[in-house]
Amino acid sequence: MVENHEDTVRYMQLYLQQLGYEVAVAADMAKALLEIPQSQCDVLISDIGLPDGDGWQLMELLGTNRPRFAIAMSGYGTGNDQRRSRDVGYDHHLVKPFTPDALLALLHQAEKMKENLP
Amino acid sequence: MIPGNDKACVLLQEIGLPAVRLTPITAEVIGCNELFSSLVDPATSVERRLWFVEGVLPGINAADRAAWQIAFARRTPVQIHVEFESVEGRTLEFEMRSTVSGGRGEVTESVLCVFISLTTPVFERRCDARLSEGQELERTRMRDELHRGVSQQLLGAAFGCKVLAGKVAKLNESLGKEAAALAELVNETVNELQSLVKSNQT
Repeated sequence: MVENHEDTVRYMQLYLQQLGYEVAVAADMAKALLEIPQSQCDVLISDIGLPDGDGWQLMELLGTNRPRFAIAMSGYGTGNDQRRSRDVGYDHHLVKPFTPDALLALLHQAEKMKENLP
Repeated sequence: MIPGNDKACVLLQEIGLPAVRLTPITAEVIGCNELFSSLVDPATSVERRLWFVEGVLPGINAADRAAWQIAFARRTPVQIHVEFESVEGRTLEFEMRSTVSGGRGEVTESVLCVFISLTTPVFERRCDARLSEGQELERTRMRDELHRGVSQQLLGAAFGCKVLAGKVAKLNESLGKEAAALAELVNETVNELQSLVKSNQT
């Protein structure tokens, strides 16, 4: 999870851990670029507004190291924002605020996708 | 807020329009430009926050005042006739247009009143366009505030409540149900705010 808002990170991480997910957190793009390639994570959940760049740049810079499933989070949800997220490779663009159930539904999609992989 | 600190009022000042921003319900002044403050006779009210209630409302005839009060309560735009008295004792006639910034129930909701001098009608055409610019500026401000503040905090709260509900349920079934209900209430608030965010971005 790439997010720099402390409360959001804290509670999202606790929630996901409570459900049994293993969560690694990066507060900025630089740290995410260092850690994601080594972490072999299944899902990337990234804020679009990051202190040292944005979630779109992050996906582009990750290149082939990007996880198989990626979810963008943003307070902005115009058609352009959503299109740009899709264009760089995010599977979904969640507009903040969103409910825990909305995130969980996407994680279930990611699990199904992983199960269907050859 | 002191005159000159409100972006929309500053913009309106630049095009020569007196403007004042009010709190909903109490109509207290929270921002204005210098053109507005120059219209209000300081002798009518010592306190700046009462400039509108004591300096503007008395200059509105009964019918227009009633129309304004209804529109103010319903948060709907309205145009009415307002009169001020100049320092020389002349009557200055204005059309006052009020509009609400932000949607109903928002924490940052306010009412912006703009005064268009009826003695210079040619100016009115110009100000219509600039008023739209002011409204767009206001929408941008609201959108940014929603993103940086309320949305982000509510997102954390929604997940925090879920976490809490999960933990409490393990300790006490009855309290767990109450915590789950609280989490659901926060979820509903999230959904309402998200609708608001989306409507603000279309």
